[in-house]
Amino acid sequence: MNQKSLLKKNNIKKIYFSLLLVGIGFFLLFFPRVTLPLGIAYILSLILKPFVTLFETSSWQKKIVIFSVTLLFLSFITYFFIYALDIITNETSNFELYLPKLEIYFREKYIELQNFLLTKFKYKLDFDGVELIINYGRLYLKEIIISFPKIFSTIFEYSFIIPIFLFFILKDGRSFRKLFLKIVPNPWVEKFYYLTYQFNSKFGDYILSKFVEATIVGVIITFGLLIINYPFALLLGLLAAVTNIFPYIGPVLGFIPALVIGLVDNNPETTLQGMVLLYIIANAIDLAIVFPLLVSKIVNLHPVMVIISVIIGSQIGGVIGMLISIPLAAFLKLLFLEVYRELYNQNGNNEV
Amino acid sequence: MNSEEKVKISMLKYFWQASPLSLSRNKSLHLFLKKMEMFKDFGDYEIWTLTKYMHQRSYSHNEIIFKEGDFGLAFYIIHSGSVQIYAKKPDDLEEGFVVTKMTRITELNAYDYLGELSLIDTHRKRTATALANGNTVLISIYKSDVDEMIRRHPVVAAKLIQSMASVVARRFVSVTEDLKLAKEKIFRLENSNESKITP
Repeated sequence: MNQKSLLKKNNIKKIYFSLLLVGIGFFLLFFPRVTLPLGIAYILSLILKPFVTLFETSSWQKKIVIFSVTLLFLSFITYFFIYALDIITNETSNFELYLPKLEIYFREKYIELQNFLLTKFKYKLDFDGVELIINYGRLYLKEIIISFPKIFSTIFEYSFIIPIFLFFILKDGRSFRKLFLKIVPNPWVEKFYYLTYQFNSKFGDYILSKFVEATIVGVIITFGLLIINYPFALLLGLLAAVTNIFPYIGPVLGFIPALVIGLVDNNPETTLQGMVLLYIIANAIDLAIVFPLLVSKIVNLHPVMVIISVIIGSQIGGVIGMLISIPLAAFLKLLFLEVYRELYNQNGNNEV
Repeated sequence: MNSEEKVKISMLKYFWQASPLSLSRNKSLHLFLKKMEMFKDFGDYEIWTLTKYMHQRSYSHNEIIFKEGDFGLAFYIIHSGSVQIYAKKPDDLEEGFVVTKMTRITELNAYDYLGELSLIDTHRKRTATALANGNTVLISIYKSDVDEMIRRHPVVAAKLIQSMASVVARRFVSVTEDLKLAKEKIFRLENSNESKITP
């Protein structure tokens, strides 16, 4: 084969492969009912992979290990649906009883503010901000309640599909990657394999460390609230764990509901100071020990870049977008450095 | 292998492929690797583990495998066909333009290997260009695979890195010998020149 036809053949392969990547991208974008469970299964596979690896290195059969891990995960989900969800639903319905209390509390505080402004500055506050907030809150709550059946049917559908995807990602992930690598054009194969591996490992490490971090914070807050006999301990603990995935604003977001409950609740047993101290301790442990040990080593990004990527992530993909925005930004930084190194040939040592 | 590791289907598949009665035995990657000096210390199970991390890639005649100056991220073993190794000569000036000429250094054949330093050190630039000579099949193992192997199969990874290290050490010894000979030649030439100048 002469140089010209070889070059032509390689260019065709490159175009074909690029079109295939674009096609896969479009497929994932236009079929969210496939993309979402597949994405969740992929994220879960990254969390469970270290456990599979732990047992796989011994003499255990890979399939049995993966099957057991998936089964264990399924049992946990079922347990969550039967037991934990029941408690959370109870707590949520109890929380609804708190809403009128919340309304009264805000109205009282608003009248106090109105009087304060009138006596001190002779200024009459006409704008009824509280009414606006309460109306907006009611509307938002109504929307959530209306969409509950749809959310539950989606969760029910996903609870069947995700374990299947998860099992096959864990079992055949390596084979899929090997098969896909066969269609990568020869001139691109080394770089492509390196970058996909880096993406996978960065993403996996980040998700796992975030999961561990959220669990630690959630457990500390739940048990702490239970000890000080604070209402809605499990719900608030779960909320603190979930909001922990958002950098910087997460701990504040998790703290606000607990503060509101503490302010509204007239129960003399509710210890507001204890709750504040608990949140400070939990977040101090997170910031001083868990975050530096687990997360910061993986994500080497400037804080401004972290905030920008989270804003963009939330705008594009909501909660999941927020979660994946940071490792994605870290990967894009790596990709940029690779391209830069390729173009300017920096930091390379000569092979002997 | 300890007593806990009893029968594995994939292990049985390996023995079936390695069986002298099997027609595909010549094509078996396990047998191919077993014949290599580099893997002489590897057990059957270790070679079988290693093959899970290997990739077969085909190259057409004259197709570039890697270019001088590229960052090396893979190690290659020649399964069939041959590979020509070229290196850039110092730049020449031809009619006012800088022209880089390539010199053929060597030709590598089946069971030979290239790019071993890529597995030990990342982002090391290749110092030569490798070109497929005829239709060539290569077995590649990437740096990322070795990183994963270190986590999943540390014993196999350690043996592979040890093999790579001994290959590098052998090359280093051979280069040192060549350098010694070259220095001796220069020394002798310098001495003969001096004796010619001072009668």
